[in-house]
Amino acid sequence: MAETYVIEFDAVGLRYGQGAEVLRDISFALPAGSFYFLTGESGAGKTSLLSLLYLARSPTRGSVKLFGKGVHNIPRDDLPELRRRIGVVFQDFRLLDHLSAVDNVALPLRVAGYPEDEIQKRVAELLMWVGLGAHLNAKPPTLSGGQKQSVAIARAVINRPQLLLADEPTGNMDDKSAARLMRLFIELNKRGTTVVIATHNEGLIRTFPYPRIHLANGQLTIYPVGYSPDQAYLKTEALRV
Amino acid sequence: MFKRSSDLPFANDTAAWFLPWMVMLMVFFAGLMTAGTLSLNSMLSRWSRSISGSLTVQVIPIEEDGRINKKKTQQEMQDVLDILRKTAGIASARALTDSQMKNLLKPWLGESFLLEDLPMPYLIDVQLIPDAEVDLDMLKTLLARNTPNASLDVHKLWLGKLIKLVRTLDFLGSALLSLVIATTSVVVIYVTSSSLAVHKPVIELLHQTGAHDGYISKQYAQRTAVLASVGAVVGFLGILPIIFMLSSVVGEVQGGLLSEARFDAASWGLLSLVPVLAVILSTLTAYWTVQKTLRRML
Repeated sequence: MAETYVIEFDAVGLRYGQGAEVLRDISFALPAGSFYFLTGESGAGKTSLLSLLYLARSPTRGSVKLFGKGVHNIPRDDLPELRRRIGVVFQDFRLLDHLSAVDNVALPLRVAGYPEDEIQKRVAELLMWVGLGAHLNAKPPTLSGGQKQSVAIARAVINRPQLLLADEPTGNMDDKSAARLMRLFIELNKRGTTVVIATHNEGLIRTFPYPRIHLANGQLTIYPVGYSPDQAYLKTEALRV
Repeated sequence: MFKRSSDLPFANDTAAWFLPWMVMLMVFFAGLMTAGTLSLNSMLSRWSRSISGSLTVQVIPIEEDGRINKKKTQQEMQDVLDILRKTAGIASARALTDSQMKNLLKPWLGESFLLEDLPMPYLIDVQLIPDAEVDLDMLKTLLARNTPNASLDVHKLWLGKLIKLVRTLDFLGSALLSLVIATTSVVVIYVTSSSLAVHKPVIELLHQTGAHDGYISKQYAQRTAVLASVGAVVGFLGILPIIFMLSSVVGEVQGGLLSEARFDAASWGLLSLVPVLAVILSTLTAYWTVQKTLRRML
């Protein structure tokens, strides 16, 4: 049986305005249920690549397919349903400051029209699990960086997404919290969610054995588990997809 | 635990506070224009009802040597009545009595006047058979030939001028109303567009979490409905004392045109639609503006 790909990029390029391309000829495919780290120097294009994946922008050229559907061909009215299958943890959290932690996390369920009693149950459970049981009604400005990140992560996973994208999700966390968060991502991955985590944290990559997508100079290379872009002699072993 | 509020931080929208003021002014002016138009049309319809199907013939008293010759005048009155009663389509013709004449003049001259002192014509009230055709040209010719001091007033000319005046005022009212509605719509579009620009990151986040445009548009529509309702209620309350005051003044005027400019229950019903329509207009404009703007976003 043919493998099902959640993400398929073919010769994708992205530029902002008239500037140089920040992503060039990106071609790769991630199978459903896979787990990848996304690495690269600052400015390498990690956030741009993620923005293509969560449909915040369209590629300048090439083709992007998500869940087997070409994003260029999807009618605008069908985009919300596609986006509901994607959970995103933003580097800057993007929490709504005027809403409580509970309402921030409940957002994906509300827009999807879930009944309020189910929303209450699921949100409370998840916030307890991420250690925010005592801050359910706290507004983001009153929370610490780590707590905000927990709220952002809870919001990304509350809808049990098929694709989870996280941009530096452990950036504001201590090692213990980061390990706990990774266990949540791994658990979601075991249940079938495809996970892509953009990170600079080499310790995290060493601790959790998953392949990495590496961006450098706007181009992408996929390294299998145990291979790293720093190991020059292994670069040739890397899989260019 | 769950305190549901809007997903968009509308409390930060300073431009939105123009909206209730604008809707208040719109309802106030639109309400006044509606009330004025309804009153004028009510007056016109009462007058039209009361004088259609009737004619008036006036007979100028015949003077000889500077004095009124009552006998000749009475004879002429009788000749006019005879002509009228023989004319096809006329149901009745009767001369107004002195007391009826006095009653007609009372609103203008008060109680203390002598009819004999006034150079008043004698009046004959003519009632027509409903839907019957009266040959008015023939009647005028007959009266002119046989009774030279009599003249026929068919009211149509006077009523026509009144209708023209009221229609002109109606048109001016409608034009002003359209201007007020257009201005309010522009303000709603401006306020909504500003808010959309300010909250673009939040809207992008809502889209990213899977919100349809309708989900966002609905929140804007709800917020606009609340703001517009506040303005509409205040604007409507502002009209009430003015209408009561004008009604009271009109009520004090006995007789004449103004006394017919009544504001009845049906008029109140129509007037109360003004704030409702203002809220609906503002809400739909906001909804449409959001939909149109979001269509341009990814």
